[in-house]
Amino acid sequence: MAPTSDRELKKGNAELMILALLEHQARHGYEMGKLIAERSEGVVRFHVASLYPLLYRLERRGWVRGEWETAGGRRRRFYRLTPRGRKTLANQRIRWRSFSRAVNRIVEVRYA
Amino acid sequence: MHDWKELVRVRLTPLPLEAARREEIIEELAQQLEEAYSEAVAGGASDSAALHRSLAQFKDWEDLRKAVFHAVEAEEFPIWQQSGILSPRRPAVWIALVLSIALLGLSGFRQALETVSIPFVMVSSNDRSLSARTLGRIERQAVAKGDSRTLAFVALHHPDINEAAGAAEKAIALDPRLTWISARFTQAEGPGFERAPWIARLKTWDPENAFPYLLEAAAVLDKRSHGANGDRRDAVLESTRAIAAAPDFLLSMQKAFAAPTYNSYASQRFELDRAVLGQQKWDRPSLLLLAVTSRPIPNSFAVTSYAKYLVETLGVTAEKAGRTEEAAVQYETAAQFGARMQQSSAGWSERLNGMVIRKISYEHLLPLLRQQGRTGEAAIVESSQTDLQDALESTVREYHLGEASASRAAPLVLISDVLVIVLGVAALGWLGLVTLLYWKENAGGLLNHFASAASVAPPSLLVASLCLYGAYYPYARHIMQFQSENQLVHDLMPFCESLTDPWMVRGFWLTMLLWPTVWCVAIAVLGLITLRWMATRPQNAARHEE
Repeated sequence: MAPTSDRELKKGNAELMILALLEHQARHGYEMGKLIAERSEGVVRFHVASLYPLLYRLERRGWVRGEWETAGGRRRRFYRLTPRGRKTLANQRIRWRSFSRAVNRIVEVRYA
Repeated sequence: MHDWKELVRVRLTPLPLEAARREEIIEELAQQLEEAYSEAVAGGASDSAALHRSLAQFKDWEDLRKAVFHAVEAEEFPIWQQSGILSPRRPAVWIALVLSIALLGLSGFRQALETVSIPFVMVSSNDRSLSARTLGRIERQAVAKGDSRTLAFVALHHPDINEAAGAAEKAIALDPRLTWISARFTQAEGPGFERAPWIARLKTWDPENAFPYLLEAAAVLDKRSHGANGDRRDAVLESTRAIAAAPDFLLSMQKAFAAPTYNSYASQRFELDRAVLGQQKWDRPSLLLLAVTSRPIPNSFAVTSYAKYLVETLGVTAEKAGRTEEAAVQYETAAQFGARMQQSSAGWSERLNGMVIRKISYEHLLPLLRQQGRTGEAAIVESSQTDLQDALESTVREYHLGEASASRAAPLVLISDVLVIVLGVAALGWLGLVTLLYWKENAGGLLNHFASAASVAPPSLLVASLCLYGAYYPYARHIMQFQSENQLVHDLMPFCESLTDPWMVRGFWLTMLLWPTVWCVAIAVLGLITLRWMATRPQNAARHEE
């Protein structure tokens, strides 16, 4: 995938990716940055300078909630989904699946 | 051991959030740095390399501060808390604003700024400095002081011809040497206004001068054109027969060509206009040009037509009839008049007119002298003819030379001028907003947004101002530095004409700025590609590592 498209996709779906990462468990910022890079096999990398403002924006909207916890001897700020965030994630996921299926139907088409 | 929180606090301050929230953010970002540092050290990096790698995660702390604030507060970052190069807390933007304002102290820059009004002034031949109201005020002051020259200035420029005539009467009564200002009224029109007394007054005052008779001849043409519906002003000049059938026109012209001097009062008028404009602190060469060029000049077509009538009709007819002495007199009369017109301190067009008349005369006089065997006189005329041809060519060439450089400078001046005005307004808006936001920080996010966007105005204003001053610099002069009307017209007229050229924009883009524009676009595209490449380089590098 071309870098330009990478960025466009990332920009459009950053919120969805963060919400999805928090669906099953609370995570801190550093972990989320690493996870995105790992799960996307390096294709998607979040710039840290964009990640934290995004987390604060989601928190302001009430989609995630940050709380200080101690883990591994370190105080960390863990983020978890709020009910409102969970609902938003469900909606965004539906939209994403619908969109990606539509795109796949176009780009994966084979002529006999 | 590094103090990560302090490291972040120093870089992220000021961050105008609620204290507890700010501390949370600082701590969280400090952890991000620490984690990255620890990971790098665990991977075998040295302390300094690990620190460098950790800090490299946040390349632009100013952007981060703005982004964090915007994310938390959903508002634009307060302008007085910004630390970027264009922040009001930094000197750069203030220096740019002060320098832009300081440029107003330069007379040349003020002149350059006023050039934006020249196209309107030149087209309407009307300047607010020469409005009836302003001149009325000046007249009252001049009457109180008994200042005849200022009254004469009012008489020359007042848009109401009857008011102007009143001022002229007062000026001449105070100083009869100013009677030459009567020339202004010899071509004027207005309700209840009569030219004839002014022409008569001028002829009586200056009977040896050809100029009043030429103005009288022009008035005859005007009078005849009003005689019948549909008649054109120059109908008299359409044919030799028409000229011969206009005795009043012929009489005025005969007197003009026989008069021993030619003075169109150009130098008197130039000195008067320059002195009064200087006295009124109107140091604007364009205004002086407008004032000077509004002076009456003879109808060049009428003068040339009469010269041709003299030479090609009367002279040639006499020559063909064998009256060679009579023919020579006609040729010489025209040639001498042309020489007087050319050598006087008259304007560019009158000098050119004089040259053309001499040329017409010499073309007939030279063969006649040779035919009569007057070789000595013929040689002198031949030499004069050569000099005349050179003078004609150099006059025309010189004018076009000025025209070429002016046509390059004028569009740059005009565009820079418009930019300076627009950016000046934006800079003033910025100044107003930052002042308001300084005293009332919570005045509104929208104001902050506008103030941030307008931060670019002061430095842009300075750049546009310098461009304007640079482009106008060759024309920036105090009006007292112009020594004559000819110099003023030669140096400034092509520039002012280029400003008013309706096709300037098309001609300018097509002929002058086509290649510079292509170059600028090419460099801009190259720059954008480079910036794009630099921005995406880390991603490419990551892919390569993979």
